[in-house]
Amino acid sequence: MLLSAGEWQAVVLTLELAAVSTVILLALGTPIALWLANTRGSLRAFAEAVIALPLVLPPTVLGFYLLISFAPDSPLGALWYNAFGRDLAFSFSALVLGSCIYSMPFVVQPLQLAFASIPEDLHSMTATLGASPWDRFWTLTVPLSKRAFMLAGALAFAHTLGEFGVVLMIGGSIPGETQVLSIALYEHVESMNYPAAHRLALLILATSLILLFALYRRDGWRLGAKSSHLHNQTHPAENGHGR
Amino acid sequence: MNGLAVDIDQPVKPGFRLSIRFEAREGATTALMGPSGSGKTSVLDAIAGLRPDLVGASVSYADSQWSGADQFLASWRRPLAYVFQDGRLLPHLSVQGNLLYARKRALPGGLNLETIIDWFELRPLLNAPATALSAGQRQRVAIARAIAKNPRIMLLDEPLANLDPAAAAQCIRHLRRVRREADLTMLYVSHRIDEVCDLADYLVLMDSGSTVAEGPLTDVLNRLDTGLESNPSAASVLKYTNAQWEKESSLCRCDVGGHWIYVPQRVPTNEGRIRIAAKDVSICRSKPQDTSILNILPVTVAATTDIDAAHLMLRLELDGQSLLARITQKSARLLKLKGGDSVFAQIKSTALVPGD
Repeated sequence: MLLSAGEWQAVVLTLELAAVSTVILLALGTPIALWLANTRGSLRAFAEAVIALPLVLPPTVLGFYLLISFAPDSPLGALWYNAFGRDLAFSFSALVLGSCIYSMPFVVQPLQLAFASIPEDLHSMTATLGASPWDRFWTLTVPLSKRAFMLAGALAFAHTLGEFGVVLMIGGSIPGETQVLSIALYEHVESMNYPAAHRLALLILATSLILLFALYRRDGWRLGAKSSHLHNQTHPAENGHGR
Repeated sequence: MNGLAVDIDQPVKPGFRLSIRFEAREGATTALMGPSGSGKTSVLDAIAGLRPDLVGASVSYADSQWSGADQFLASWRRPLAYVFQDGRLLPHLSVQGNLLYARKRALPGGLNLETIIDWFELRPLLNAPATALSAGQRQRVAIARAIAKNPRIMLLDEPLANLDPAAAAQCIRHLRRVRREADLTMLYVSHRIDEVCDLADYLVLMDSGSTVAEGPLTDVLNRLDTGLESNPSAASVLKYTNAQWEKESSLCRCDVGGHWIYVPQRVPTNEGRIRIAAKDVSICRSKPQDTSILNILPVTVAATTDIDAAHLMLRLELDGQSLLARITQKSARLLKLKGGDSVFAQIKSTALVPGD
């Protein structure tokens, strides 16, 4: 593709941001989803509401508050400066933090649904077979939520790729640090460079489509395989299947 | 005390109080029998540590307290295994995967996994996905998996309830073998008298959350005041001490206190038990000569109790063992039956179910 060096930088930065955010989101979202799936009452409802906020808030609202709290004279900004010796505002880390908050519902909600749908009966059964809670998480919860993890990861990645409003508010469009693809595209449009804008827009469109297509195709393949196997192998012993 | 001691006395749900206390002997099979809703599953759950809300439950095994006033051992730390009514196989694993899940977390010692696979005839199914099994296959895997954990105590909650009669009979055969050859303490919950007669050494009868009667199986079965006697499938159990296969008749004759009882199948061991349904036993004043019935036993009427306007139950003594007979009030009147009478009990061979 005929991209300029600056545009390549934006591509790499965008992918980096999406990858780092996805890893952090899965690591943070899993315990949150576990807690939500196992908690009742108004505390859970409140936590769910907070996590779902980015779904309804205009990204600029979220970005505005993040901008305020990342400022060097804010408590968080000052804490960050003391810990890492550099400003949080207009940094790559700020973008990661922002994307994590922005994309959290896309990770937590599918995982919470999947965790809650695992029958309590299977938890008690594996407990009586000697599996500790930690053991049960890895040998029961994770394998039975495999699809939800794939979905959550893909959504977090794709959603971070498509992020604009929050990044616009907190990023500052610094090439190599905070200038992601969507921002670069916006700047091309602002400067009336339509051919360049076309290239980037098409790149983002194609990548997102391919990613989503791959995700849905994999799901479809799994579902198809599952149903045909149920039809063919209802009673393996009678059919002579098995070993 | 050796074995498992259970003492629960507290409300389980609104309007239902669980008040039960019993001991399950080490190495024996204790059955917990009662109608649906009598609290049997709650008792098993409390033993397994699946009901932390039952704070008043006391469960101890050998020298260790599992549940008590200020004690609660997590379920996964208790040396037991639990066979649920619905099997509960791990749906993402194969049959082998399910067995290995238990094996990887097993207590030391115990039976070889290969032996367990052979006992439960699972070898052809090992690679089958758990979701592709019939109800009977599923339950065989569930029981085998429980044994693969090498538990000290095995809890079984109506494991045969969802099976057709043939699959249930196959499972009973496997369970008898486990009972005979594995050194296990079993707690078997059921509402079916036939299963309990075939498997249990001790019986705890429950109703509405409380114990109605408890003791050695034959003692409880032969009491005529537990409510069990009015159950249409009431049965008793006779122990035999010797068994011979009669080739010419294709029958097995079992020695019960010096009398031969013929059963229509080979028995797996020389000593065992025969389950006799009370409705399959009839009474004669004199020894019948020209009857098709092979089993005619000289017995004494030890006790009688009315069941309803048409029926009564007799407890018959046979050399120290007891046998139940359910006959009509009309027959009893015609024969002028009363306690202490010496009579003959007839049992159709084809109705008999031997065990071990």
